[in-house]
Amino acid sequence: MDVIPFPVWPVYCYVDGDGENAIIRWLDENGVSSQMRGTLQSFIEIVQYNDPSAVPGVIVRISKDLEAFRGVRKGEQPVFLIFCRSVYTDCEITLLNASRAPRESLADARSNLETIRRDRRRRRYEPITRRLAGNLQG
Amino acid sequence: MSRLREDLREIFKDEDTRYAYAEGHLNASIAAQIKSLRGEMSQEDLAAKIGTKQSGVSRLENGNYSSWKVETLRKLARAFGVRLRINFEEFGTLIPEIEDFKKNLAPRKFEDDPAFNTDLRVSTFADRNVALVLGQVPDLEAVGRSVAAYSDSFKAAVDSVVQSWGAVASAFAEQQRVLQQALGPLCTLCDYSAVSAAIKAYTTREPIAYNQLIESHGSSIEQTRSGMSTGVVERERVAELIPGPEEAECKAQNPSATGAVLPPFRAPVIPIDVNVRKTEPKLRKTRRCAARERSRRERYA
Repeated sequence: MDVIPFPVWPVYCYVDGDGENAIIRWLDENGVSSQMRGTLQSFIEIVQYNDPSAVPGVIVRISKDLEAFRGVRKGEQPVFLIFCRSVYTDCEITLLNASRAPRESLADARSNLETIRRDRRRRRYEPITRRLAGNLQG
Repeated sequence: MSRLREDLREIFKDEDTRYAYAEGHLNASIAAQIKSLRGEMSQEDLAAKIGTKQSGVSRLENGNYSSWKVETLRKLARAFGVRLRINFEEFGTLIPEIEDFKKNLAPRKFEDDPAFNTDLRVSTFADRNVALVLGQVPDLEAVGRSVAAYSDSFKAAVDSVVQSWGAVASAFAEQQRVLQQALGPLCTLCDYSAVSAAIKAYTTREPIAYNQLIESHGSSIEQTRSGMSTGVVERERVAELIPGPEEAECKAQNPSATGAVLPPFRAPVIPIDVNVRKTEPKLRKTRRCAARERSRRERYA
């Protein structure tokens, strides 16, 4: 019998008022490379199918309630994907926003978290390697 | 098709992303393996073993670190008692690697590798069952005791297996019923002779169902198997099982029941005979042993 595995820790992305994935939008607008996106997505995938402790040194705590995936590549500025665990269920992660310096965007992250708590449709399961339509640079 | 396969099909359309993803996975895998294999050892101790500083080990244990050298990895392999393997792979192999990421982090040391340790050979649960069925285990009673000692952990594994089977396989309801019937005695009984008999009955009657179980839920079963794997562990557990001074008489009358002289299992060399069950040797019990069994059964019930 073949058992089809599903993510045990699904990672969702915050969706902004225009219905766009806010994480992808930030990555596009800040010219984050395909390589950095691929690296971060590989970490996300391992966490999704295992648990947040699976990849050492990649998840950093930035405040009492928020953490971030840290992506580092040679010759590139680091990228932080700020997230919150367990918004609706115990084992899930929601990416709230992205930044170069996580503490500077804590307020935005918390605001996005409140929005998601009010409306669970404001998040989406989607790889961050995709690009928004009409934005193929970066 | 699995969700992961669908996602990766989309992600891997871009070549740069594809290679960066694979590199990210490799770096994360190396960091996680080093941390897992280090276990209780401190970073300072490991650093001393491979001739570097603690900060160097700390860097190696970071999933973002990508500047490790093969020479350093060789030294680490030696320090951990495992071998280093470097392969070129197809991208498709990433799928099982991601899904089973944490299960594959800590290979056994050379000393614990059953391939080179005769005490550990022929020690998996399935082999043990076959050995029991074939009557090749000299002291069935001692084996029964050791199996009973593990019944708790086995119960948890079996429960989860049966539960997940139930969730996904309504079409396999009949198999599930047979499985539960066969495994039931193992879950609830601590009577070692009954456990032995249950194992025998199970292996002789339902080998196909057992194999399917192993195939679809290999990890949890494997965990149970490895828990039951070594004669050394058995002896310890059996010794734990019979701790009290009131058992001295029981031990004296049946020294092998302590597990202290439990011999290593031998590989089965002839096919399973389904009629062997009928020739099961009768187990010798003292009144005190029987009373102890009864109280244990009540406790577990």
